[in-house]
Amino acid sequence: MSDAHADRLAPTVPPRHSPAPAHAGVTGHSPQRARPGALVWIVRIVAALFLIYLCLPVLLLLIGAFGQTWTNTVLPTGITGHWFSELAGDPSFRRAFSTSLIVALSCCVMSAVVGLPLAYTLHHRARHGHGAIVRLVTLMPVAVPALTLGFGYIAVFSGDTLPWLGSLWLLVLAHTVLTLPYLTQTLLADLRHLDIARLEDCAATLGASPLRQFLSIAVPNLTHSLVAGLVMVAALSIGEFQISNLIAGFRYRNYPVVLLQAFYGATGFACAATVVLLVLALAATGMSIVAASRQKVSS
Amino acid sequence: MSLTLENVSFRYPTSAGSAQGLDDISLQARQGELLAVMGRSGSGKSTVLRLVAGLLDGYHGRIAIGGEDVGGVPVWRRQVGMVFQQYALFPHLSVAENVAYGLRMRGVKAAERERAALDMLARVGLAEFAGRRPASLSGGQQQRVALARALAVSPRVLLLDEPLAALDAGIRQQLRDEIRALQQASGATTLIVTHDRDEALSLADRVAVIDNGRLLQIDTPQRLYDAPACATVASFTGLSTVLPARVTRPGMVDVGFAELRVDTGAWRPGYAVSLLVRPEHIQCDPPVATVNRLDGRPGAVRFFGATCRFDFLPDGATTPLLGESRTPATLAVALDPAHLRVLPPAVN
Repeated sequence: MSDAHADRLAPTVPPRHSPAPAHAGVTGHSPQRARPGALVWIVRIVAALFLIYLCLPVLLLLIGAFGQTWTNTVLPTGITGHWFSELAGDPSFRRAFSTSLIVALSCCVMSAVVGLPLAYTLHHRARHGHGAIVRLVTLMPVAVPALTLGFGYIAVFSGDTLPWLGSLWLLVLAHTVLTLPYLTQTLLADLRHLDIARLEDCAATLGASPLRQFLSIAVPNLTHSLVAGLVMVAALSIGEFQISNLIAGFRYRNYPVVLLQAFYGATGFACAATVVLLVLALAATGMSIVAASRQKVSS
Repeated sequence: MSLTLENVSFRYPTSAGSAQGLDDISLQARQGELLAVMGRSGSGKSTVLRLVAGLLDGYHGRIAIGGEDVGGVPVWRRQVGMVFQQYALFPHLSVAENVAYGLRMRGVKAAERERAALDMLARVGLAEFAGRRPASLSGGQQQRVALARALAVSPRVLLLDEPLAALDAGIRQQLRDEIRALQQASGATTLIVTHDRDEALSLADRVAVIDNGRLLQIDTPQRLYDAPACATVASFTGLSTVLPARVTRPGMVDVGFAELRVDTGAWRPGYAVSLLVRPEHIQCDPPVATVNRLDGRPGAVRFFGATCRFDFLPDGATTPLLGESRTPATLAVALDPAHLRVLPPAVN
């Protein structure tokens, strides 16, 4: 305790053999070996706690998924894989799984078809002083909660004139609307970073029409960020619950919506079902990271 | 093909910031000529280039390539070749594919354009780099690829936008000579924009000096240096001392601390003028009876090997004269009347 006290006082009370005041400025700037101070340790501890907080549920899910019985004990007893086989045999889960995959893939296609030209147009508008529109479009997902959108869909599509609530394509459309801004933001960052506009100017002087500039310059240079963005779109779509829960009918419920119901049943089964979703999410994140790092290497 | 600008004026839209427009610019580059457009950054010189290329639109006046008005012709149909300061090579294409890009856009068959690209790369000395990616090349090499790419399409006009500004000094000189050689071999009418006076004076057949969107003077490098139209052109074309002066009688001007003999031309007595003194025309420690001899004391000396540049403060003067010679002046200098130039008075 007293040692720590002395340590804290040390910088303010100069030792007796310290140099004369005339040199004080010089010694103040002299290089000193940086030692991890108290602050660094606090940061490390907070980071470690956060990591545990983040990983513990995942760990418990894994334990739960392979545990035989888990009632009124700290940890489950017995090891089994039968929750997974039960899950694989459950028709409603199999159906939800394939629905999720179909929705995610369709969502990717839609996002790519709409997002690439959209980002490109927004980028050109930003160059001509329409930056506010670009910012509005890219900030939309942060500002508008999915819930709002979901209620909007219910209001519009539940009537007799547009009775499309519960259809697969409406679910795809809703996911596209939600995930599109993330894709356009990724693309816009790359359009700026790679200075595509200058490359296109150059292509234009070499005889490329605007369409050929887009196809031969913008598209090939944006492939990496398009892939990275689409993986993110897929990950978001697969994990999407809020809006899906509101607008999905009984025929086309996606995985997270069905998953919620699993928690009314056996714990092991629910854990196993969640682990499946977790693996998908981790795979998507991994792919996104790989795509992003490859892009860094190439640029 | 010749390139003509007639009374070209241009204003940037107000939202695009404070970039300098152009004010009634007229100039012509003859077939095969290398014309430099020189000016400090923000003088409007790049605007000239972008207007000719068609990357900017909405000007007044007339721009013609080979006698044909290009107003309303989009960039991709103007058949110009352009080299950008930051190379602007396509990162997703190989060096050879970059050079062949313009031919591909023109519908030239794959085998033929590959042969043409390799031929162009050989001319810039980069044949062995054909399969490489641009990012693996040095700055100088990248700019040579850009040059080959622009020349591969046999452009009607070659436009160079500060092509050497991003390069190291040593490579810059070497590439400058290569640009000149390539330009002469291809015979392409060329417009080069630069803020570097060495580049403009050593490369170009003629130089147009632009400042604040206006054309100050267009002439051969030699005449720009020897007979600048104003003090601004004089300072753009080389080191000098500009002294405020007043014509006292024909052939004489008063610079405040001395009366000097000089060809006053059309300037009549009483007029305020500027007197231009180039450093190499300052004669060091001349004989006593020499015309325009000024006593004084030496100032700072900078050694450059073959010569040195020195300051010399004549008695009574407040600002020193800048001289250049083998050895600096010690007691006196003389200003040869044949090389002194009387210019309009400085505006500020």
